[in-house]
Amino acid sequence: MSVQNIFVNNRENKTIELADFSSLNIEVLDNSNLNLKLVNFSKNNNLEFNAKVGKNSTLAVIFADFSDSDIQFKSNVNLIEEGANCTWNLATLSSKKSQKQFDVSFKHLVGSTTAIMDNYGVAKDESKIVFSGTNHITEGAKKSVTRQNAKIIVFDKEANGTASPILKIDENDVVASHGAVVGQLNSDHMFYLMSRGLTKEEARMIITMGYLKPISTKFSEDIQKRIVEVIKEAM
Amino acid sequence: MSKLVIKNLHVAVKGKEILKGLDIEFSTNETVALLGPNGNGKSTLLQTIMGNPNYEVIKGSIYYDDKDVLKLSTDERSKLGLFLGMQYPSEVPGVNNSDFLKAALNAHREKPVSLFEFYKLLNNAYEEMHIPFEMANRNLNEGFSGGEKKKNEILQMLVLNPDLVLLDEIDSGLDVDAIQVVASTIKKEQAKRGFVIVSHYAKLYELININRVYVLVNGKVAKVGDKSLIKKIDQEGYEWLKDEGIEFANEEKMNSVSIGSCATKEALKEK
Repeated sequence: MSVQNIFVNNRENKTIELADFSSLNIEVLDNSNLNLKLVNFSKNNNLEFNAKVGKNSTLAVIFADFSDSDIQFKSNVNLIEEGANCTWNLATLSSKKSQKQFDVSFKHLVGSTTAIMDNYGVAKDESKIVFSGTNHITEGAKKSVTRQNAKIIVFDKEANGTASPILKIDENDVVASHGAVVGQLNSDHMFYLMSRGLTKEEARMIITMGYLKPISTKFSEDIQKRIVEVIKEAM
Repeated sequence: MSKLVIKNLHVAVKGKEILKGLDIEFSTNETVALLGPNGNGKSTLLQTIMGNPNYEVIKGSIYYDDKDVLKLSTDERSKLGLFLGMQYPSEVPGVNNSDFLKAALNAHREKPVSLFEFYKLLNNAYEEMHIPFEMANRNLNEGFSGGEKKKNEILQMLVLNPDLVLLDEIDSGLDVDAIQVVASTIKKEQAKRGFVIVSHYAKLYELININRVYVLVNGKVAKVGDKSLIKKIDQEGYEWLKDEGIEFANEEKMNSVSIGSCATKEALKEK
């Protein structure tokens, strides 16, 4: 497996868009910012993501997965110095018989660090999506803020979604929350859209696009177009 | 002119029969007022015509000219020229109002609408409904007030240009000015298309032309008349129908308040 390294430090600001990867090793140190936009259309089954965020630095990750194969994704983000921030946005679409597991974890090793995670999934046909991961605030990491949010829409009877975010808190004086929602496609929304002439497929498409919008719109136009095509095909 | 003909319609919601052999006809060149106490089948009828999957047709037929409506999917019914302005329009997160309208409009056309034509159409509709054009870029009904949602329903009707429009309590949640806007739009549109209008308030009916009035009781048509019937019900409620031997559904829930003050009185009672 080829490992790609991305190092940003010394007050650097960078935005990087990457289509398809297998293993990423990230460091954002010393008052730096990295905007990382990842998109996966490939058939790589095992994906790895490791990151370190240092003093007064921010790592913002947007990760969109639209591959039609099985996926095992594992990520670990360590917040190693004060003022380290990570915002994490993940969107995935699974269809046919694919099984996708995303394990996204954060470790607050010192105080005054922040991790905000939002994971969105759409499970179609007979596919399965699992969101797991642990946000860990270690002893001494006071004033840390950590949040886990997971949402999965299950489109079809045979599709399956599981979200099990875990919080591990070893310190007082912190802010921590987590929430998980797994639900079916709203039938009132479907009826409303169809009553205006949209076919079932068009209505599903427009609902999915709307649901994934917080993430898809953050990509460049080229990638946005590809995302629309993939969703169209999946419907 | 087209006709929607409904015969011996029986419809159940969650296993409970609401429509019990309804016969009624609507046409695209008249406006019909549909009245009746709560829970006696008005919304059920409109939702069934549009094909809401929560409403189960047990027996009967709905034909639009020679087309068997019950065999069509909801989107096909829309393409046939039917439109339902809903009592509770859905808020669909992340779906942009104008993107949605464009998709809906294109669904009714063979060739996609040009950007210029769409903009013009949209702009006119927003102006007509006194809705700020910026609202076109908001998400569909998301965060809209009750009145804005209802005006947005009429706006969609203007954009989609249907032949037969079913309006389910379109005036509830509207303030005095908004009722005037909705009523004047309906009045203008009456020459172009048919309307079936469900309302609890005499106010809206007073502002538009009404060709016929139906009173739905216990899942059937209990009374047919002209505009004077609305006045009678507004003043006397529905109780007098019982003296004529008409049986009511949901006896325990029945109220005898006049249609003009029904919602307010009900709200006060709940307090």
